[in-house]
Formats: sequence, structure tokens, C-alpha cells
Amino acid sequence: MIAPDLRLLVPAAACWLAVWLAAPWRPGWQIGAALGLGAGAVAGCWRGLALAAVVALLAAGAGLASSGLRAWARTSNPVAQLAAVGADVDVRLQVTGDPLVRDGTAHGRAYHLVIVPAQARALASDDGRAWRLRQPVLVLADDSAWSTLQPSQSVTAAGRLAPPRSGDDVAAVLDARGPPVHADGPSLVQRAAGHVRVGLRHAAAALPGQRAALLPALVDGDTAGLSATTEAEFRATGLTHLVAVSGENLAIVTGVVVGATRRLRLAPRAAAAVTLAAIVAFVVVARPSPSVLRAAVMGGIGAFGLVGGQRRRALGGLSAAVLLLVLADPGLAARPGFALSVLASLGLLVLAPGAAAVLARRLPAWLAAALAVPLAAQIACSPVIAAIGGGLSLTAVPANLLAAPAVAPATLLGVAAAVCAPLSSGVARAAAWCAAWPCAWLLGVAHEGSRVPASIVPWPSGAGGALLLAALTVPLLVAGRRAILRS
Amino acid sequence: MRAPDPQVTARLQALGGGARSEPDSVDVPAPSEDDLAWAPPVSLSGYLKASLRARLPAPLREGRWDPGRRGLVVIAVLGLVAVLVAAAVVVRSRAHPVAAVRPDPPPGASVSSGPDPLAAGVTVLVDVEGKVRRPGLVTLPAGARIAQAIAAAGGALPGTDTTSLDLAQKVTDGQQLRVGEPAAVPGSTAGPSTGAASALVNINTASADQLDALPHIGPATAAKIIDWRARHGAFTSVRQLQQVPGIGPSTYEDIAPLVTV
Repeated sequence: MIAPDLRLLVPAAACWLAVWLAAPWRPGWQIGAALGLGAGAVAGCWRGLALAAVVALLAAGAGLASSGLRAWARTSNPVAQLAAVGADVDVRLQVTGDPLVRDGTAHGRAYHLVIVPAQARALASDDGRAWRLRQPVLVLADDSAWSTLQPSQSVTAAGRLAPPRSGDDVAAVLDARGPPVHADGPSLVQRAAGHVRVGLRHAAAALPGQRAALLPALVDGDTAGLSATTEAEFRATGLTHLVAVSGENLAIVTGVVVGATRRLRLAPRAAAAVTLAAIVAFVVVARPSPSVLRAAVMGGIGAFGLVGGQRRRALGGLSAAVLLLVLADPGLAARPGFALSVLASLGLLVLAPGAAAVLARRLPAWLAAALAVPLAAQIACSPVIAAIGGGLSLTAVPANLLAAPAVAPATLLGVAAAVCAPLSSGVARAAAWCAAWPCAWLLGVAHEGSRVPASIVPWPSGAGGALLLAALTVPLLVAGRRAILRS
Repeated sequence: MRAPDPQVTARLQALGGGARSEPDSVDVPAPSEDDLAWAPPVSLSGYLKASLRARLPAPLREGRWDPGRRGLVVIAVLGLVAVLVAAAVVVRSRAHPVAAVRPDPPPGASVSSGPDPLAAGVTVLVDVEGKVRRPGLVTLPAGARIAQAIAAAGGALPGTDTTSLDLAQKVTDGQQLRVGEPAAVPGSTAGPSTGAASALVNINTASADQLDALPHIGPATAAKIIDWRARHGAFTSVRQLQQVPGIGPSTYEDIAPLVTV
């Protein structure tokens, strides 16, 4: 066995933790802390501190510097200043992500809210001042015309600026009045991605019931058609990662592409190029959500590993992915999706092999191996799920175990449908029809699992709840392991 | 007893000698006297470190942790690049003041499609008539002054008396300016001083009673408008009325045509 590569584990963890903890701080404090950590690293190097500690200090300092500089840019600009006084503005925006539609009732009134992530490119305030700039804003609108926008489109809008919630990495929230005025269409790449998404939705449209909505959700995270009930069922059974496209989907697709390049005996460089292209295409179509980014960077590093002919070292790849992503986009550090994705991967790599070995004492080897995967992922993720108010799901492990066999066929058939959709709608529909079977299985698992009494145990949310759960999990794991081994 | 596993021995030596170890194999042998004699715990911290290490899952226990000089260099370079990229992002996101934002008009919409509130918000359309070089419609940034409107119409003809116009006054969308002629248009072109002749209520100068007379505005809301005015200095646009608590979209739409700034 090759020793796992843990050289980047400590710096990656230090960088992530520092950026996450410092996220609510003022930019000045963050930059000050970064300078302090940098100075500490230099002094430590001088004094002969262990290299691992020096490297961790450096990585944390770099993360804080990156995060602090960006936070400073976000908070000291006309958008943030006008938001502080709640000014009315006209703004030219570039849409940066898919619009999110929220329907519901609050205070007895039905509301329809469209949330659009965007970048403000130009801004005119009511008093005649105007600027060109680039600042991230979150648009809240009640006009449904906003929900049809695609990333990369430029629009103009009027509305009132408001300060963002603490922890949101945008300069302001724009409360938009009326519909957006379209200035131009999406870019060529985004138009192609839109074709694929719409094609898949059409191919799946003929499927009965929620299967029509689950397939696009499973393949590219397009949850527009999913009913609130189904979403709640998937949440209750710890299967949400299937609905919000996750790193797992990307890993399945990448795995097939790598297998194909091997079968075709492509040269290592060509194989790496094909794999990278597939990863990039997947990220564009399925949108760069935190977990997709995590999987994409890990996969990309793996693809580079192919070039060198090295065996892929997953723990090293995961550490490098965390480090690169947090440095490049410090906002990810505080996103639950990122934490869940990283922790699930970590659980699979660190806990699953041992769990499988221990479980194999009591269970057949194949079942032990299959059970170890959701068990390890759930153990690693449940503190974060509890922290964001998701409670403690008792059905998550059995539900994921039951769901596992259907995930790969549903994803691959769905991807086939999406890829074929622009070429032949007949083939796409046939693939979608085949994918309906695993989809029905997943829906059934979620539905039955959510009906189990006490499927979610209420658990205190927030950091306290997470720490409590983690503190209880570790001795429980040790005791469970010992009990199985001693018997 | 079993012959000591060379891997375990190596690990114990690497740990500075110290501790009972739990081998990977599931049959955990009790530490024999031999073992203890061979590797006595050197210190409490050494013992804790080693026993913690022994309890770690296998991948963490057997992995390579030390980044080495090369790791230090890699992280230092990576950190430097990250800071430079962040600095570049800061520079790129900086706000540059511009004279006016002129969003491209939506395809198919001409300048005269006045009722579009979004387009109208960024630019205003003013009709400049009278003694100017190029009388007619001019498009100006929102908040432009009468002087800019006259300049946009080619400037006043030589010898024209513009003293009757308050050149610093802001133009409003749809306004008609008559240069060098007695003001014939009621309301918006006239400054606050001629407010008495205006049918519109100037929200910057109006009394509570005048505001109270507007539809949907009671004494309480009128007081809030005056309060807002006191706190912010003045209204720079009618749209700022929406920032006054108690004025919702429907009220605003009803009173907006009746007021001016």
C-alpha cells in the first residue's frame, strides 16, 4: 500500500478553518490577522518550528489575506455605501448564476420571490452619480420574468439596495422593481449549456409524476420542477445530495470518461485532456456549485496525475482541492455545501476502509463494504447537517445504502439523455425512459424512508449542536468498534 | 509471542519510543513484558501523542505528513499567487465614476418608448425648445441640470437671455424647456419659488397640511415624510418617497404624478 499523501492536509485544514472563522470579521481585522500569521510563519521558520506548523501558518495567512482583501473591496464601494442608506438605483447587471424561485406564504400572504445572483457592472444613483464597477449583488425580485434569466446575460434593472445578511459574500441585495430589461443574450457557452438543460428537461417531461422532475435534478441540479414534498422527503432521508447535483455525480461521469479513455488506449496526455474537457463541460452545464467545484478540482488534479502516470492519491487531491478553492474563492469556506462535500469525501477516504474492515467481522464482506460508504459519509457530515438546522437523520444510512445501486444508472442514463437531446430527441427520450426506473426507485426510497417514525431526531442547530454531535460521535465510534472487535 | 511486526517497530521508533500500539490486525495482543521493557513511555506527552496516533484511522496513521522544504516552497508560492489574485480582483472591481450610465436600449425599443420605467430611470428625455441651436428632444443622464440640457441641444443662440432659467435646476423626464421665452409650462419647469402657481406639491417644501391633502396620505404619513426630509436634507427625486415608511407601491403610484421635487 502506498502511504497516503497527507502533506497538504494540515495546511488545507488550517486555511479553511481560518477563513471560515474570520468570515464575519471586518476586512481590516482579517488582513491584520493574515499579516500576523505570515510574521508567525517567518519567525517559526527562523526558530526551527516544525515545517508542518510553518506551512499551516502560511496557508492560513494566505487564506485570510485573500478573504480580507476581497471583503474590503466588497464593503468599500458605492454599491455597499448606497445599500447602507437604502438608496434607489438603476443598475446594469450580469447574471452569474441560475435564478432560484421561492414560493411560499409569510404572515398569511402568498409570495413569489426570485433570487438571482449577479454582478453589478454599472450603477446610477438617484442623485445623478454613476459608476462603472464589478461588485457581486443578490437580486430579489417578485416579477417572474427574472426567473427565465441565464448566467452571463446582461440586464438593466431598477430597485432599492439593501445591506446583505452578515456572512453573505455580496456587496448588497437589490430589491428589484418590475421586470429586468434584457440588454443581451447569454454567451455562446451558456447558450449551449442552456440547450442541454432544456433538452434534458424536455426528454424527461414525458415521464410520470415526480420522475420527470427528479431526472434533471439528479443530472444537472435543475430542481425547478421538484415539488416541495419530494424535496422534504429527500431531506428527511439524507438524500438531498442526490437532488442538488453533487460531487458524486461528477465522479460517476468522470469515472466513465476515464474508463473510456483507457479502453480506447489513448495516450496519457490525450486522456487527461479528454477528462478535463468532460469535467469543464459538466461544471458549466451543472453549474459551479460548491460541491461540484470541489469534485471538479479534485478530478482535475487526478487528471494531471494521469499525465505523470502516477497513481491517484485521493487524500492529497482532496487537500489540494480544498486549499486551492478556499484561496481562490474564500466565500466557499462558510458554505454548508462545500463543507458537506469535503467532509463526505474525507469520511469516505479516512473512515470507510476501517469501517468496512470492522463491519466485515459480523457481515458478509460485500454488505460491509456497501454499508461502510454511507455510514462513513453520514458520520462525517452529520455535525454540519445538524449545524444548519437539519436535525439528525436516523434513516440516512439505510436510505443511502438502498439508494446507492440506483444512483449510477440514473445519473449515467440522464447524462446520456442530456448529451443526446440536442442531436436526437427520440434517443434522448429513450434514455430518459430507461432512467425513469432508477428514478422511481430513488423516489420510493425517499418516500418510504421519510414515513419512518422519528426519521429525523431534533438536534440543536449552530456551532454548539455540531460540536456536541461530533463530541458524542467519536467515543461512540470507538466504543462500537471495540464492541464488534471484542465479541 | 509473535515476532514484532517490522512496520510497527519502525513506527514506534519513529515516535521516539513510547507506547503500546494497536496493530491493524484485529486480534489485539496484550502488551507483553517484553514490549514494555523494550519501549518504556518516555513522557506523558509522548505517551499521549503515541496513543492518540495509534487510535487514528489507518489512512491518517500511515500517511506522510511532513511537507518538507518543497512543501514549504509550494505553499509560499501558492499563497503569494492567491494574494496577488485577490489584489487583482480588488483593482478590477474598483468603481470608476462616469458621467452617466447609458445602458444599451433593449432590442426593438426606441428612445421614444417613454413608459419603460427602467430605461427612464437611468436617462431622462427632455424637450428643449426656443432659442437653441438644435431644438428638439435630448437624452440626458438622470439628475442632469438645465444647463446640460441646453448644452445637449447645441447651446443657447448668441444673445439669448437665460437668466429666467435656473441653470442649476435638475431636469425631469418628459419636461419641456423653453429657452429665451417666458416660461409657459406650468409645474415642473418652474422652480420651487413659483410653487404657488404649480399644481404639483413639492415634497421638499410642502407643509404637513399640503401633504395631508394628497390621496392616501394622512397626518401620520405626512409627518413621516417631513421627518424623512429632516433626516436626509431633501428629496433628490420623487422616487425616494418610497423610502418613507408607510408609503407602499400602490400609494406611491397614486401620489407620484401629483408631486415634484
